[in-house]
Amino acid sequence: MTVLDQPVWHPRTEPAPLLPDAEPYRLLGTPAARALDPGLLTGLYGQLVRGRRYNRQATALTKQGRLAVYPSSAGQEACQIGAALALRPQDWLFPSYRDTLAVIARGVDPVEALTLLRGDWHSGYDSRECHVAPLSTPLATQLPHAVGLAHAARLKGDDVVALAMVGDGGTSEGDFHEALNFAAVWRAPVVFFVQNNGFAISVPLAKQTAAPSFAHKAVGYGMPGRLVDGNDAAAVHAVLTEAVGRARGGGGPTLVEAVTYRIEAHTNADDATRYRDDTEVETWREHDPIALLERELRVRGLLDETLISAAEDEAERMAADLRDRMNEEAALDPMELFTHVYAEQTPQLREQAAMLRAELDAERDAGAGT
Amino acid sequence: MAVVREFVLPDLGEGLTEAEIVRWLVRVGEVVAVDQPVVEVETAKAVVEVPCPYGGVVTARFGEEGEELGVGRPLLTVAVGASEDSPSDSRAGSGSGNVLVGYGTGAPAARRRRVRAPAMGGAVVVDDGPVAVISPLVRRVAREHGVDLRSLTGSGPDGLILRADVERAIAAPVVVAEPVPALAPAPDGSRIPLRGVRGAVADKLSRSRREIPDATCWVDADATELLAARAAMNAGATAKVSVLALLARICTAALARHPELNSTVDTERNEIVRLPGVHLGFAAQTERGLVVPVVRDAQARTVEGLAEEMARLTEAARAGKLTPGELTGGTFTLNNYGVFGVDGSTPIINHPEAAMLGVGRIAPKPWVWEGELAVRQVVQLSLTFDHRVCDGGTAGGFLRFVADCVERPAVLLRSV
Amino acid sequence: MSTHTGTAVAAERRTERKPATMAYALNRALRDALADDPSVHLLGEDIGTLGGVFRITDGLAKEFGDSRCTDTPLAEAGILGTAVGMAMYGLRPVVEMQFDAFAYPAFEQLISHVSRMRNRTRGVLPLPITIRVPYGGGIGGVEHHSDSSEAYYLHTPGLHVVTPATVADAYGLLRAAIASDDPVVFLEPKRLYWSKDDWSADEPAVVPGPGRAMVRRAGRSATLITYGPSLPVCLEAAEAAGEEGWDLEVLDLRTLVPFDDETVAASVRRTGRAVVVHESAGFGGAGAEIAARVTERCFHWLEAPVLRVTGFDIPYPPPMLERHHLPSVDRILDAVGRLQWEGGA
Repeated sequence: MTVLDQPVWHPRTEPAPLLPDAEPYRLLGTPAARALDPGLLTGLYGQLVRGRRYNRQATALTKQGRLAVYPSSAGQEACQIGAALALRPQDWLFPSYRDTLAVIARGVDPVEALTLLRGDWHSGYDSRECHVAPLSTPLATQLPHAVGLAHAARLKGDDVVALAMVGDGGTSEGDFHEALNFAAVWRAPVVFFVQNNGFAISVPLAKQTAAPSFAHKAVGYGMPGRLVDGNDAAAVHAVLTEAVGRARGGGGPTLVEAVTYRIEAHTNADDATRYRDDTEVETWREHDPIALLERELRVRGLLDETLISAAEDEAERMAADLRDRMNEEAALDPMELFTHVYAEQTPQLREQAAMLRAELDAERDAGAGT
Repeated sequence: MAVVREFVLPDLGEGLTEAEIVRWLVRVGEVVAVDQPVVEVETAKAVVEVPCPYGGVVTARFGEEGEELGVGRPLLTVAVGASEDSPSDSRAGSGSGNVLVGYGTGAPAARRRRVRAPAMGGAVVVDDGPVAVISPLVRRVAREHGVDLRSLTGSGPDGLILRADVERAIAAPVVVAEPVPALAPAPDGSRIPLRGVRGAVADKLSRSRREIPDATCWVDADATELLAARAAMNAGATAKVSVLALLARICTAALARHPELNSTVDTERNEIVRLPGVHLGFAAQTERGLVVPVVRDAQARTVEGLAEEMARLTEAARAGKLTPGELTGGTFTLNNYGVFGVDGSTPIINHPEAAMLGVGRIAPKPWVWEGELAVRQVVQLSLTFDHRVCDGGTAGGFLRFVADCVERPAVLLRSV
Repeated sequence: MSTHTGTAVAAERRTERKPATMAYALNRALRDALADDPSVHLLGEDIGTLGGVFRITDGLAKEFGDSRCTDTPLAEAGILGTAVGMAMYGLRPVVEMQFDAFAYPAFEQLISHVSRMRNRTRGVLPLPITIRVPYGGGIGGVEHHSDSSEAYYLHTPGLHVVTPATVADAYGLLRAAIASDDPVVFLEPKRLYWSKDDWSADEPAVVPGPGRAMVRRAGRSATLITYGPSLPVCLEAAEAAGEEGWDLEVLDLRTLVPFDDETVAASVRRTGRAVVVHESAGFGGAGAEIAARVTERCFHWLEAPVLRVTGFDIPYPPPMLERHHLPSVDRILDAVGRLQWEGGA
């Protein structure tokens, strides 16, 4: 008699089917890509160009002091766009602070998306309307939220899939583990999207995990894992769409790891030369998501002047509009500090608000009298 | 911090060596973003917008509209805003510059204009620091009565000033009252603030006059027999009876006959309250000034008892050891202003009492004695009373009885 | 002979005091601790190769190696939990929580184990761990980068809570914290990382150890009681107060646990009035404890209630509204004005 003969215990799931792709899944440049809808490819292209322009513009705005900080997703545009486009209107996105591009690709107004980073409030868009959770500053804490929300929707009989984004660093946090476990046990309709961009500020992959890949971690929770080339926009889109579909159909959660690279430093105030080589960055530039897609479009005869200028014009329009609006002063109301602390303002807060009100009035009067 | 970058007219292609400035799109001082068009130039082919590669504040423009500018010549300069270097490397400024997660430490907060007069009376610096007092309440009581805490010796542990210490100090006013601030006399005279005890007394007197419709009646009386009776009383006795004690006994006897004068008017309820006991206040002059100790339940005391108690209270007053209970609660006051050498007065009733018997000096004066002119010891007696509690008949009756007792002490024997 | 002179000159130059930042002093403290005691080990995110997001650990991994200055995976509970294990085995870990608000995942380890292990084992397993936490606002930081959590720490018995406000104290108190056999939550006022003072790394000024408050500015009208990032504001307020006739004393607590009742009470008994100033929310904050202690010990000398100038009872504001929340010179002077000054005792 061995433990295998015991009545209670037996392996619940065959691990092998859960294991991810042996190599990161690719589409662009493969024969399979020929079958891809041209509209999808040109659409992705426009979004990537716009996305790259958005990253550059946001970085520039930070250098001008219009944003407090900007953690750029430059180089990761394929992941950002892929995530946004794989979702249907009723689905929910759970972004981290680096995922503003995914948020605006989902349709959120860029100025509203950047409110946190500009610093006039902590979140600028209506989450209930946009189906986008507030940008999460602490890492991985949004993952259990995604599980809970998806679970609640299902309890109410609604067809909603939650896509939670996290980086390689975030997978080390306890919340990552707990969220995946809950999701798998509950069979929640969630897609966990790990953007492995190689660094958690300065800490490289080798110091973050010893797992063969993040996608392999899925096996441990009993959910399927997918490994995809994060700079291949078509592949990312395909894998995420499939994962969303599985969740929608009751197949439970999926862990998708996209292998990509953080071209810029952690934020504009970080000095990446301290912990990585420029040659490494250059190598990755050759694998740039826009370049990859352009190559495919060229092969398919879809990359013409019209497409390029249309994409660039749209990108410039977005950038100019963002610039103009960000160059305006933010509308600030200090009294708002006391408004949304509780459902009902406490007497103590009323007192404190009155004190600030009096100070502001005195300031205003003093200014007027000068 | 800010680095000024120069943007030169770029090669616009097609072998151009110069271009004409058609229109500036930015002004000096304006904030420009990277890639923002800053100028329109005209080449041989077309009018072209030129974007600036730097983001920041335009510090200078070169060339006027209509002017030709060569390729490679400076077009404008831009002060690039936040530091592009790693922030903590720069030790130059004390600010942080842009930090990993935010705008940085930035400029110090602006001051709201504050125009506050320094506290009344000049600097509020207390020279020797605070004195230990048992509670804020007692501290306030001291302040209200103008007691200088620093002059007190606390009877609590480690010299802690207790409530009793402050109340004792209140009972012995004037000398320990707040020192008059040394102000230079103004041209129209010197000013003494009505604060502390002085102020409290002033308030009480004003209130008395304000609230009580008082009237006074007076009479001269021949006190020769009273003095003789006193001498007889004291012959061979160890404890001496004072004239004041005798007068006190006369008062209580008179009040027994005319209890209306031992009352108080409750203005709130609009009632006259006849008080059961006579707590007799009498003025005592001490080195520390005038105090009015109260003999409780004087109606129950004999002459001897009154004399003893009044002597005790007077001694305590002189030593500054009267308790609050001994200074308050009076129902009738005996005011011996004769010690000042005057005959008459219109005394101010000790609010909230209803009457006061005033006694002038006892002095030899011409008198009609048994039908003939004689020199007798004469005293003027006055009764000030709250006319609400009784009419002139009662008041006159009271005063007449007092005068009769003074002139013929044997009358008092009827009340023994 | 010339060598001797040369050495003397060189030595003089090394010990010469010149402007040094608090960040530098902290860096030197860690460096000297690592050099003096082989059991000292640093753990944290980005502290090795990068040298820390504020460069506090700059150069240490290079000098002492990765195993003594370790870049950990991104997990605060893991960092502190493994530090507990290391301390149980006799090492002296110094861990970094990258920002105040990112320490929250580590609370379980902190409250359940770091603060209790000595007590649980009757002294057999003390945990000489130092937990470095950059705290406080004033850097225009986005959400979660400006919190002040000292109330949670000082309310947990078993933890020492230390917070320097000067360059010299940054060095002295950090060295003392690391050397202490008690777990120390070492709160570093991040807005003061760039503050400068004349200070020599080779002959650092000797400062009192933890548990002692210091009068930074003597005065007689009232005492401002403060710590960490609020010290400079209080000193500025004291300067400005002179124009209004107040001579303010400014007391830097330097340590919240163990609390220096003696120095605080002596000061307030001298002045008779006190205002506590701190950034974190007022309700249930450090100021509440301080006010209670001062009232108990100085009641008889108090001319007015102990007042507190603190952040509002709100989540920390966004960068553009931060200035309304943090105690300002004007707000402190307003409070001083409410200390019941009506003419004399």
